[in-house]
Amino acid sequence: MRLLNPGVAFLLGAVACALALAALRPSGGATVEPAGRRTAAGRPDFSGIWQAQNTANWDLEPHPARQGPVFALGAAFSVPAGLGVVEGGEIPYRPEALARKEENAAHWMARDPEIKCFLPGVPRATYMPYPFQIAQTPDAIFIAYEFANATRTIYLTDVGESPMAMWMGWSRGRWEGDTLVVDVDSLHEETWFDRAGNYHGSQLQVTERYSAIDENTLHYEATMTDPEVFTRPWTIRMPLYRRVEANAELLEYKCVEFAEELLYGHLRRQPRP
Amino acid sequence: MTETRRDWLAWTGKIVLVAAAAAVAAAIAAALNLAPAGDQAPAEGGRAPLRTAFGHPDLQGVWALQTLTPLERPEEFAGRATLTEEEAARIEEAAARNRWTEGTLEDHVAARELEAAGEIPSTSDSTAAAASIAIGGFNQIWYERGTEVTRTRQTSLVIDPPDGRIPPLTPYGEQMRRDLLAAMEIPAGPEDRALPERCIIGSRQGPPMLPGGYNRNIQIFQTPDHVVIHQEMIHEARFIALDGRPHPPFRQWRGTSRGYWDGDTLVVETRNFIGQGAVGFMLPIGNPDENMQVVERFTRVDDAAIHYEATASDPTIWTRPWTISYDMTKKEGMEGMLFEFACHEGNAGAGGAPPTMINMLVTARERDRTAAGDVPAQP
Repeated sequence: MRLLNPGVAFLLGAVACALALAALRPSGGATVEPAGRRTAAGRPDFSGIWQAQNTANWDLEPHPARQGPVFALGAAFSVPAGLGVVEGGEIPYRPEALARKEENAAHWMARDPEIKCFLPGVPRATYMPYPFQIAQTPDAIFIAYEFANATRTIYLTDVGESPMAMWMGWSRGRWEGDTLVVDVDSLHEETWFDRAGNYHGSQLQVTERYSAIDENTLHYEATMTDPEVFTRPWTIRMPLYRRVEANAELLEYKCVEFAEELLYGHLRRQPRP
Repeated sequence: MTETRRDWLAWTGKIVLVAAAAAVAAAIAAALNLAPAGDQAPAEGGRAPLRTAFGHPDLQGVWALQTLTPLERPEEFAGRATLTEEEAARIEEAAARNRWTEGTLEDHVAARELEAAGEIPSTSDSTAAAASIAIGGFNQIWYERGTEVTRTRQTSLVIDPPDGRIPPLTPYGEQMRRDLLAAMEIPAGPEDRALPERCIIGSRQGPPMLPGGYNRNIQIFQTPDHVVIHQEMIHEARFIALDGRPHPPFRQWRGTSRGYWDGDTLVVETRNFIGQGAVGFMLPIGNPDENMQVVERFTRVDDAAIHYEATASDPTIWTRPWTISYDMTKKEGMEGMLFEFACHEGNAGAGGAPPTMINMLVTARERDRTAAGDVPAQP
């Protein structure tokens, strides 16, 4: 059924667009405010300092509290309980991969790349107990993580395939409505998911989703696909909280110097007999 | 024609209609003096300075710090601040030849000696280049020292003092430099090696940021309240707050940086360094200590360049402040992307890399044994 002739539709469309442009201005006034801050172009604005507040870095899966690895540190560095962040509770390992995960857990202190101050990879960098800072621009979203000075650029323009594997991966993002969806691949196979030995292989692909719950809270999701290690894709979900302190600032955690004794101490000059 | 195809055509028609309507809307919005919906304000006929949507001068993009202009003025140009066009062309041609000619190690050392003697023009920071060749660094093809001298054809990056040289070290500064070099010779542990080798502070990362042999690219991101300087070298990012907040009451390896706009120039003040050479080792210019303060100035001069000027002062190390300047040049496309510099991971031998730090320390312990007259370990 024909409702309007094209010329009238065109003019009405033009007026509607002009009004929409006016409404998108930050000082737009009596329009319904969507969740969170907005950029000048009307996108959700994720710029700021964020931090997870959970025990996912200890173990993505549900876990009771347990004794920490250093008896001398007693209650100060034992493992807090957590209900887990994996949808459905368990990571769907292939049987042989599950055996390796358990072996990783048994040799956690020798194998976990976090202990050596290696770049943590994605998604682990997101939920380590350190803040990270986002600078959002129209073409790219830059993230600096306090741990190990890790950095990562999410490209919103077409940058093609990664030329190589990287510890922090190769991130290409797009907006699906108000959700930032990021495809991460080319992740280095030596990164882990947590301190419980959860790991992946060289084929890992991660799809992250960032959306605003309100001005100071983001909803974060990451779906992991790696057919060599997992029987199906699996997803973690958690809120991320804005560091709202007026003086919040990403500080330096150059952990190399904290790992040197561990990595190189056996090569130190010893006193001569 | 199938139903699907007809639907597609109908939708295409609607999209075209909406696009046309949006164009008219933009015109109406402009007439009503509404802000454009894009984040990027239009460049008015390419006139500098370009501006962000929030009105700040636009410094964003990937910028190359490479230049053939040496840090300090070579002897042959003493007393002159600027190269002639012919001299600049000669240096650029020599650099191009050097890069693509696979000479022997002896050829390179000989070339550096000729440079040092002023027989041929200096093509780069010859002291650093000679040092890297002497210890078996990389073939020239792997270096990215740039292909041009600065647009100003200045004879050195140092523009103050007027002689184009880093000012003399204080006795304390000289002693510190010697002590650090001596400790590096046979390191007792990783702490005796330079900060860039330990992957704590990148070589020439600064501030002040200096050109260098490789990975000297930065990317700048801007938000209304921060400017971010991301350096490819050891993936260092400075989130520089623009709100005038005080510096933190402690020291960091990269110092603490605060920024503000002085007209169209971004000024960044950095202090609170831990010391021991934050500029980056391997330079014969001394090693800044914890009293160092740096003032950097970034000015977008046109589409292709940011003019960078930085003054470093540390009265315990240098007898006076010194200032460098050069233009950072814009990189586009795949060339204009920063890639991951997994420095520490490589040092430790992760990911199949040769374990550089382990090799250095193993060698040092072997030299300890030799020096003590022990029989070298059998392989």
